[in-house]
Amino acid sequence: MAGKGGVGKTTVGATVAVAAARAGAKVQLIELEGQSQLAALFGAPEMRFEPTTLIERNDAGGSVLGRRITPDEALMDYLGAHGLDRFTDRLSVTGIIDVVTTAAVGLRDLMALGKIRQIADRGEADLVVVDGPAAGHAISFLRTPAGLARASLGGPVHSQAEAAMEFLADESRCRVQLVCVPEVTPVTECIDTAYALEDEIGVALAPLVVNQTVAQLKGLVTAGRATSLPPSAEAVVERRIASTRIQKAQLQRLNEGLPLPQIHLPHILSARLDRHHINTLADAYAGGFK
Amino acid sequence: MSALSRSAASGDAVVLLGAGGVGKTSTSAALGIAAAASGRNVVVLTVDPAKRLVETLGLGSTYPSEVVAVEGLDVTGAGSLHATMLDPGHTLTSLVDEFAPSPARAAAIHRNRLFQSLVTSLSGLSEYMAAERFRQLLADPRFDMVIVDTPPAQNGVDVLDAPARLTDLLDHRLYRALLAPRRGLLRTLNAATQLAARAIGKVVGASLLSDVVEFFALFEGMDRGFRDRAAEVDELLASNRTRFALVTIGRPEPIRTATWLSDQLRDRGIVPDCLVVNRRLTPSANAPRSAHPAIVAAIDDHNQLAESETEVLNSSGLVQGYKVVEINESDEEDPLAALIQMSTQL
Repeated sequence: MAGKGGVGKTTVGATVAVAAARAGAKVQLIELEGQSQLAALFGAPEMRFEPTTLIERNDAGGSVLGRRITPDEALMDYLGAHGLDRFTDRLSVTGIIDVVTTAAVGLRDLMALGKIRQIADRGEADLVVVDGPAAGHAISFLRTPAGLARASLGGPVHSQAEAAMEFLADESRCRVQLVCVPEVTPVTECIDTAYALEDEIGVALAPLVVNQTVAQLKGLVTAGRATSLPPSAEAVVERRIASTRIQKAQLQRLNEGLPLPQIHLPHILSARLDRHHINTLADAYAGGFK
Repeated sequence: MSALSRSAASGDAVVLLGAGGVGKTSTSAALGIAAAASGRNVVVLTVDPAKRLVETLGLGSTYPSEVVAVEGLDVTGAGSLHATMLDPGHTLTSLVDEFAPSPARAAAIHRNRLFQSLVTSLSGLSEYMAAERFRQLLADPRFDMVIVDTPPAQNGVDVLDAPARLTDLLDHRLYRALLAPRRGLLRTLNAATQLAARAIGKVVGASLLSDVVEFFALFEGMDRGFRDRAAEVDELLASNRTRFALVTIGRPEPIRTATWLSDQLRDRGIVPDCLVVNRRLTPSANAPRSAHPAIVAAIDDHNQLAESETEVLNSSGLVQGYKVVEINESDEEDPLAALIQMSTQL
């Protein structure tokens, strides 16, 4: 999942996981940074590196496991798997890693990508949904393998980088699903990000999710003109008319600017989203594929 | 005058922190407009602005690290408003050129592969460079007010910690050990560390490790400059001249991030002056009973969301603990007009 902050990327990630589990998929839902609201959406305790259950196995055989894979944890996991957990002097190891990763920026991000690839390739899940870093950072995050491969450092890092690039470029294994809302700035950024992802990283794009679409209220424009309302109510009606108009124009821009199928999710009229809302969104998401 | 404007009036700099997507950059720009209107010579440092805002502020066609005057504002009064975008690579390169003992050494650093990957990669570097750029702007005689729009969430705190982290790294025994052959400090590297270094070399590749050694070796003798600079930035951030404000919207996730940021700041002895709540929906009067169903639905939808937002804000301990500056959702479609409207609420 990728998208600008505030467009509901995390919510949509949870929605995709729920929709896929309903269809019978074993899903792992992964957050890369510790600050997301993912676990709270499922009423589960904070996620850890080890998988925890967010949705138990259902009749269709689907389930959702959640885990948090920070780049730091991924690096330690990788080093552990390569024999470094034998070292009892943890401080020395951590210290050296600090020095190495300070100079070789991106090494940690590469390890996080490697861990995600491993989960997918080992068949630990049918679908891995990654709540990625916010827009600008998503591109630099996904650009890391190419950057490190170009630095031609040789050795295991180089082969990790090449494997990650191969994974990103293989559309049968990996796609980026962009999320935006039907407003001017998010749509502009979404179109730019889509082209940057395809051109610079060579990753395939999944259908575009347009989140928070408002329902069109029939007759609002005419009725609004004909009715005398208190100023605060009039402002609300005007804003609804404006946002409907802006939404229409921005959906048009997306149609013209991005040759991608779109899935529209409804604007949920609550500031605090819960599992119930995610179910509503998952209905709309699944409906978008029909 | 809002708590945010009072905060700006009492210092030389305001640092805004908050989650992504809560309107930090817009708030920074609007505060810039308000401060300029009150006679200050303001520069807004933005780290990762939306393209539309870049265009609104006139930053689009210039070199990122340049400072440009924001045009098209009639509200600036006696003051002035400039904006600049952070270019981490450029800032680091200028630091290296400043501290390198010779042009040859600077050139050797520019050629080092790790240095190149450092200047082209955004992650990690931008926080330290934001702190350095902040110092440069604060020292710039053209400005008497610096407004810093930090990267989202965690990375915002990294801006504060970056100078100290660099100093820690320079003090690290491994760093000194890597330079040991030149300094005769080989004995500082104990047997366990040597073993671990060798094992890590096997995992990440020996050539990466030797690049790291070269990288730090090139910086030998420059650490004094970097260290002094880091201490200076630290002092500026801790001083009364620099004020802090948190930014959120009425949603649980950004409020949680702001709460976390608040704790992080207080751990560092910093108490933000206020909490800005952006895009606040105000409940509307009900529609007359005879109104068209579409009007009733529009008002119901709005009030349902506004009430839910009020509930989220009221149940947050964070909101109780700060002076709150509420900014209403803008009804301006023109971005500059929206910023000006926002600034009048400050």
